[in-house]
Amino acid sequence: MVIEENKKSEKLPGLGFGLGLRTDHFETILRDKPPVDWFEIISENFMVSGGKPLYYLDQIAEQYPLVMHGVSLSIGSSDALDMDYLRELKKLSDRINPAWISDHLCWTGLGSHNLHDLMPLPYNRETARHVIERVKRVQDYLGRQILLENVSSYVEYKKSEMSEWEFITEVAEVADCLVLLDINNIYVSAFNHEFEAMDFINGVPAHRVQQFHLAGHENNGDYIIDTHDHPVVEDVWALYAKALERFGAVSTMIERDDHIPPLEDLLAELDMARRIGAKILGADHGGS
Amino acid sequence: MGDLKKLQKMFHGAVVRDDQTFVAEIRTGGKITPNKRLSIYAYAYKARLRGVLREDFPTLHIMLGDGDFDQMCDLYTDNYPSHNASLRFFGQHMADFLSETDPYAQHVVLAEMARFEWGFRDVFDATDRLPVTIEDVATIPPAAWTMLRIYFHPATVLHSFSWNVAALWSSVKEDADNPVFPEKLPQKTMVLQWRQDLLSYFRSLESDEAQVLPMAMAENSFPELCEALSRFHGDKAAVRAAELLKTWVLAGMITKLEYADIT
Repeated sequence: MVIEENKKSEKLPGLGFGLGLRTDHFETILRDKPPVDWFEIISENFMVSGGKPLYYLDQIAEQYPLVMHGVSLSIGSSDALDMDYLRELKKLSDRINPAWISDHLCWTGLGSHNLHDLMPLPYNRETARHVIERVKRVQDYLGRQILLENVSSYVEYKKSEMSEWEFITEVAEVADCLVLLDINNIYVSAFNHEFEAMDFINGVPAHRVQQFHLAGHENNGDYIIDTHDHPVVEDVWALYAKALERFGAVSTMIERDDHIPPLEDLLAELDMARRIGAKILGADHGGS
Repeated sequence: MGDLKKLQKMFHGAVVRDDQTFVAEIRTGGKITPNKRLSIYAYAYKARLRGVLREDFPTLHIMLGDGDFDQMCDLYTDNYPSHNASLRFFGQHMADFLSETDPYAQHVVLAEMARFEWGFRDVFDATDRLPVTIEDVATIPPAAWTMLRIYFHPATVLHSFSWNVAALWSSVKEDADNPVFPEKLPQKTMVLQWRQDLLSYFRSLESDEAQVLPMAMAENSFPELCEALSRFHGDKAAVRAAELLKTWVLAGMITKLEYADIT
């Protein structure tokens, strides 16, 4: 399949090396001002009326660039777009002025019932058309491009007609959105579905890739569960190095969603990403 | 979109109701079967929601124990599936569920504990409002007290409990050497939860305050509060009302003092 690349699009300015902003670290960040270039927030965690979450968010937004990462856009659901959710997303975006807004290339619910999971899509023309139309509407509503992230998956549909990377490429090029590549998710899905992770990395257009996620997982022998609650494993670091060779400097973030360790542990992982970036791209180009 | 909707409906059914029709739509191959692949999603769905409820209702969890709590969570999830973008709101119907569902409904203390623990969730991130100060109270002209109404911070929550919920909660929280056990109170007690400087607090109310705080929150006037307090304090009712107002103001619970401009 050949997708005509939309050359009009340019990536947003890079941010360097960031971390997911987690409640456990709010006070340490404000007190110690750690050497992190930017933070990524889970948008839904701050869709509240007031109190501590918004207080700390405002404080941290004054000192660090932020990006917003959502889990409930459900861009691939056959439900209608949730305009109440989009209004809340825009309200938060207006409050903190993030460098960009991302979510996942998946569906999360049906009949307004939110499964709170990132459910994979069938990769075919029908789904691509559906997603592209919705991405365009979301981008029009928010007045900016969004980033869509590849999810880890455990099932593939018989009705899929193309690979995941072909699907992402089609959506990104036709809807003119950007891509957040989760390197761990590529590794997990490649293991679970027995494809070559490098086919995925080589299959996504470089001019669309705005951000990387790095995370850990749980290997159960016959399959891998994407838990995002462990340190990044060696194989994923190796894949990250390959991704840097392919895509050049891309804003990179360590994403830990559970079993949150002390901030210093995550800073050490971020330093690892910096070292790999410097080795592959030279000292000045790691993640910008 | 017909095919997509059909597939998502089947997948959804597999995750929520263990409906296996979707298995036929899953590609075979790899080291695990389609059934195993599907079960990963179904397991994760329950585990995730149980995890959220354990965080939101830690004392309820301890009262029920792991097994019964998880079983209760699954029943709750079936009865009150999430319709919100954020998991923050998933547990919002827990107290209602426990008070309307057997066997939990037979143990009123469970629903009351759920209401108390959920109160902390609501207090934690309720809308911000700037509280009034004691100096603001001092500027109320003497004649204006006859028409004074007070307005409360959105992070102010009142409960009426018939069980020793607050003491139980404290005992668990502090991991007390002499744990408190569930006990029905001789009479219902009002418990107040509020937020000041981003921190959450609670306290049980004396009977006079329990009488007038709900009235004040329902926007009754200051003279109406005094009248209600006269049952407890006779001609000292106005003094007690002023004292309570001061307590509420110092706790950051009052956001507006409303009276006609009589100057």
